[in-house]
Amino acid sequence: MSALPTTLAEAAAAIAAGRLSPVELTEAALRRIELAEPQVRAFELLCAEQALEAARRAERALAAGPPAGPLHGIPVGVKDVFDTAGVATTASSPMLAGRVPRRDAAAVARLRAAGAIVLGKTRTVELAVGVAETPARNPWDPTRLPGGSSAGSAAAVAAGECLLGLGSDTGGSVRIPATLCGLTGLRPTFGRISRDGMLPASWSLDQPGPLARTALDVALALDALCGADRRDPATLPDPERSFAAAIDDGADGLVLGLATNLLPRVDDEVAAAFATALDQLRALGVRIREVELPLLEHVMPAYLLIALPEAGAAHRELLRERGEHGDPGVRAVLEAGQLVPVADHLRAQRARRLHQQAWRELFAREAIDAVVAPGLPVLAPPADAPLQRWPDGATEDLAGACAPACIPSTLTGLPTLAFPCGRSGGGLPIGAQLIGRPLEEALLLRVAHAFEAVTPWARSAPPPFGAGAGESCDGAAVAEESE
Amino acid sequence: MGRSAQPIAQRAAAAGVELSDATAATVAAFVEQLDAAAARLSELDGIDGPPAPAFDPRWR
Repeated sequence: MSALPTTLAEAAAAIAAGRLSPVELTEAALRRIELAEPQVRAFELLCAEQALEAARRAERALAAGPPAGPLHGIPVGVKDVFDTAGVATTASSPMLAGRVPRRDAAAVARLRAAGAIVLGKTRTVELAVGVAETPARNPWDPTRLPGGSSAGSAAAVAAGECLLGLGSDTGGSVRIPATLCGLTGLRPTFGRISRDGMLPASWSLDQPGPLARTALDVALALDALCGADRRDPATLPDPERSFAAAIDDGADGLVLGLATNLLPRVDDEVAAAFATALDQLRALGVRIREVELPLLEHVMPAYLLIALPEAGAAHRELLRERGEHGDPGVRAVLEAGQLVPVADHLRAQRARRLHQQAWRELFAREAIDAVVAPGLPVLAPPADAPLQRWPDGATEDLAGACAPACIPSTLTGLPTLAFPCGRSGGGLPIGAQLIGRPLEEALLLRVAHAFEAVTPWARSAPPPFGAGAGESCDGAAVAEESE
Repeated sequence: MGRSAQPIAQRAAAAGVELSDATAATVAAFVEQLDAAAARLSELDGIDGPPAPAFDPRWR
């Protein structure tokens, strides 16, 4: 097979049919990495030899029987906050240099058990604290940021270096880079995926999540990743039905609540693409009902007073022992978090209950199946000037600009799917998001899947990098067709 | 003395946090933001109730 498949599902089908071998696919991904990394810088650490050995094992297994599942032989990039046995795991922090775990994080173990090939560790914002501070770059325009903190996982998938990225999301760290890199990314219901072996940013807010091109790819990954784990007491029981099996159920007849109070402060090109996406959803039989998200003015105060003290406590000893090696900005955030009075932290936890209650009432009162909104209000910002300037002259950093769109799901634990819905005049991805009731990831995935069937965005990819790039990019062909 | 008027070094010492010269000013700015956030949450009706679990799976 001469061309790399664009999506995980296509690769899985090719492997299952014997048209593509895990070794071929892994070698092609490593070649892509070699070409793209000088500009994309998605990987903190590459495990080429281990990956090729795993691919050879996967190939031998195929000779002896059927694939372990749809991830059999699929190359993945793992955010550097997930422990990998025998491979350094540092959350891209010099403070953790030389830290080599003895066993895999639960999410990594599940991916490997499903046959996935771990290519290496992808870059995160240091300790996953922040959304912009990363050397990784956006494959759609390497002068721009991919967003974070799961920056490398998103950049790697968007650049075609792998077909699946494992990320983690606290205040938007899967959804932000998925949106800015033109991918589909899921923050599942809190408790869907085990956090065992994951370096924490905030214990009560963190949730692992997959990033891939399409909703089906995310569903296939979620099938492998989620389930109860005795090592993470927050995990929920195993789902009753495969997410991939439910993906063709369609969007006809669903009612989506349009989050009107997220619309006033949105980049013009994002607003235009999102309006078109709403029309396309209507054409699929979706009814759109205007709703107002509750307590939007109070999401950031509650988030800060939960996330920062938890991060400060999680890394207190590390700061004491190796703080001088860390980025001063990250260190300051963690130190400030340690100065939050207990009463203020608890006040935020009490506010969180109000957020959860208000969202429960919203779904019931408006009789909606999910909320729909722009994924983010902004396009990928320039790496050298990541401030967003609004028409009224105000400026916001990326985290501040994204907070109203991202933090409600964080505080409520609700599943949220970011998916591509357009492109700016300059060729940058634009995304939308769906926020569902607890455990209703399948509904979000089927809406995005139906949307993909009538739009080109999820299957398009940025132009490949490097001189030999023409060898292997179905995605580029799709991109050209869509322009 | 209200805590927002308390010198940051004093507050850090009370919490057992060693601030470096490189971070003290930034920490002070963050702490001011966090104190303002706490004041903001006090405005919420119903804030006197119990804290929430991270996620309540009974909500279906």
